[in-house]
Amino acid sequence: MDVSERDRPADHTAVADDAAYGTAVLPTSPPLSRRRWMSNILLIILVVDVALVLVSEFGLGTHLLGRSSLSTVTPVLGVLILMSLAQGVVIGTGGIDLSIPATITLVGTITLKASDGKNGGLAEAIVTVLVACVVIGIVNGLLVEVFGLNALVVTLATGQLIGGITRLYRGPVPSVSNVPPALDDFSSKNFGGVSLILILAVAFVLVLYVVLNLTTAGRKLVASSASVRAASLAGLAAKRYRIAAWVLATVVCGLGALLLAGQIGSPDLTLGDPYLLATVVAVVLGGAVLSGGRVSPVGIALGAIFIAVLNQDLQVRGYSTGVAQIAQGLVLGLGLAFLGYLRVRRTGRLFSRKK
Amino acid sequence: MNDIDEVRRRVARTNRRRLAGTVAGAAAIALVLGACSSSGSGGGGGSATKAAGSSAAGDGGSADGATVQKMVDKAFLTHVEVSSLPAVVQKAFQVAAGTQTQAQLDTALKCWQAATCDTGTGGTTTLGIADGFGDNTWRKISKMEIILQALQYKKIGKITYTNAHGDLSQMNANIRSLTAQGVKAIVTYDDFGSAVLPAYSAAQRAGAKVSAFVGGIPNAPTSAVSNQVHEDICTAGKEMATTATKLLGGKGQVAFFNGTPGNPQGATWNTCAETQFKSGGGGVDVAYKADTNWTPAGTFKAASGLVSTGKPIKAILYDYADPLPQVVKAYEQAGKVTPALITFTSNNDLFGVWEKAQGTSKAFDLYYTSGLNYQARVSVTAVMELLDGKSVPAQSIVPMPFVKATKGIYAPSLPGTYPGSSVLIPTSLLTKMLS
Repeated sequence: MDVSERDRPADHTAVADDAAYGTAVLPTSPPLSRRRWMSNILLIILVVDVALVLVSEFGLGTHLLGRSSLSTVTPVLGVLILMSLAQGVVIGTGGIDLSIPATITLVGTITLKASDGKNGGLAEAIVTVLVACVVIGIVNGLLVEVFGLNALVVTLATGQLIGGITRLYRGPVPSVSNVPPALDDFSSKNFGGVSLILILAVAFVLVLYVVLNLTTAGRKLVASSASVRAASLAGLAAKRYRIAAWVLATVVCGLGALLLAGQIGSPDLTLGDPYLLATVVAVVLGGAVLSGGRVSPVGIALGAIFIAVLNQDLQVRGYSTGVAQIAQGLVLGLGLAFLGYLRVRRTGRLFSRKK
Repeated sequence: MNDIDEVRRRVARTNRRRLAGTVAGAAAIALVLGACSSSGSGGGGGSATKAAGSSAAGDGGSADGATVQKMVDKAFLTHVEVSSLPAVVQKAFQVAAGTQTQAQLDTALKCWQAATCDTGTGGTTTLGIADGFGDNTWRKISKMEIILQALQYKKIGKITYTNAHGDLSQMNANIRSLTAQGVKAIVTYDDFGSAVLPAYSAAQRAGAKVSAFVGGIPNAPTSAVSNQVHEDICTAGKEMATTATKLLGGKGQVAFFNGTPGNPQGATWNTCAETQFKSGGGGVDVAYKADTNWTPAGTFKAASGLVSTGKPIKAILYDYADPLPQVVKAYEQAGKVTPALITFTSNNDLFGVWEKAQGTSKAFDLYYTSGLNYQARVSVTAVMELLDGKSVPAQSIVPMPFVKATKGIYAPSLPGTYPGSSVLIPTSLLTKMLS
């Protein structure tokens, strides 16, 4: 989503003026300066990623590029990219989705229960997962976009709700603890050490990039996500598109969780726990602003790579998960500060305009 | 209590020897049994089992010595003399081995499914269960062990269960709630260590007795927790190190996997295992340590990190069996053979992946211990003994022997999270729980 109303006052005015005259014009390609700015961000994170991989490989003794390492790191990375994309779509609307961990855990439980651990039940499980994710997305979207509630509070609440439902649905002693073998096999596949999950995640990044940037529906979604007011003035059903963004995000999260469940094999009630802070950090590293607007799928993927490699380095060096959390917190803080610094340099403003 | 039991055991031994002496054809057998009793071990524990059986069980249950010994062996997965256990543990097994009617089993299931239940005995004592995180199969099984043990006591008329879902403030609130309800017997699995001690102290000041099972709460005064049932973590760490040293032939690299960062259990067994390695000549090197948070995802990442180090690890020592299938998965994905796994507790999924690997190029060694759920039963007996005014030591330390995996340990009809054959719940009831 390369459209940011607040960073593009000229566009905003143009859209509003066009709407006022009844000739709504959709935001088209962004101004060169902002595109260049985003390109610079992507270039920076790409360089940082490459540097980190090289330091890991040759300086820290993390044999990342070996086949055996790749085969265990890339599935984790693939899942993180998908979850971060889900978070990124929501952050693009100016919201945040704290219910992602609970949704992941619910999907893991559905995968077990609906399939009964058998290949024959896998299709039913996938359909149930998709239905559940659509419902969660609609509920979150309606509460935030229609009722105007704060996304943070709403998703915190729905996360609790989903968590409670998951526990009840799972039951006291789950009779099945392993996902269907077909899903396990599928999620464990790799090509030259590169996990199929990562390949699918990268493919999804590209599809999302194309859809958001090169299709009418995608541009409408981007416009509505970036600024509900500007999009409404442009004649778009902005809220509907924004709700669609929530649904899209939750479905992406659900598909990622399905693959995660397959990769873990025996999903439990902690399945989603690692995907709260990490997804936000990946999105921020990808050049997004937490208040919404500018989000790049490619940037998110690069951000996720940084987080995954950093975590692997910390793991190999024997640092505790506490250190990993501190590192992620620091990266989040520094990333936000760096983006803020770049914005000040570009616009001369410390704070962005209100919508 | 200990002295009384000892007297009873001696009387039982004497009676058996007299009986043996009157039957000429059984003289040899009597001699063998007599020898067993004097040695205190081996021979299936014949004398010890009789001794245990001769002492009175709980106010609801009683069993002969052989049944008690069989139950002890099942709980520990290997032969452990009943007489070698602390008195309260012996008592708990005597109570647990007592007969239970179908009506009691039905009540147990009803209680297990509810937060509060009436046991139907008309007893005036309420047993409170304070679980820090009662959401996994191990805890659910432990809950049933507690209920079955409680149903052997006619004095217990009501059982109230609370679950903090891993939330410290909820745990404190639950303890306070039990205290306010006048619960006098509290058994707890404490996930929060000393952070809950003030709540336990308040409960005991109100007249309750608190017993904690598994793991132990470091530095807990008896004013807060009257009794703790737990294994000796340091000894267990040393046993793991000894097992690894033998397995590696005294030389090689091993990895330690721990749970949450800085947890006292991990710190204890890590230190003791390292000390044991050093005392064994220092040929075994701890080349990698990682936290797993005791979760599948955390364990996979730890194993992934271990693979990325490229170190030739020969054994992984861990204090929780449930997430270990993730290690096997990571190694299989990496195209490597899984190192030997030496772990506290046991898990059916782990048994499944171990059995699947046997006879293939991916075969690996597995050493494990009892699921430890029986300790929950000991806690019930401890609080009931305390409420009866009997003396129970602050620490009831039980052995935790490691056993090597053998074919047939995997139970395909049971859930993967099932903690193995050390569970003492009758099969018929277990089937209903899992249905």
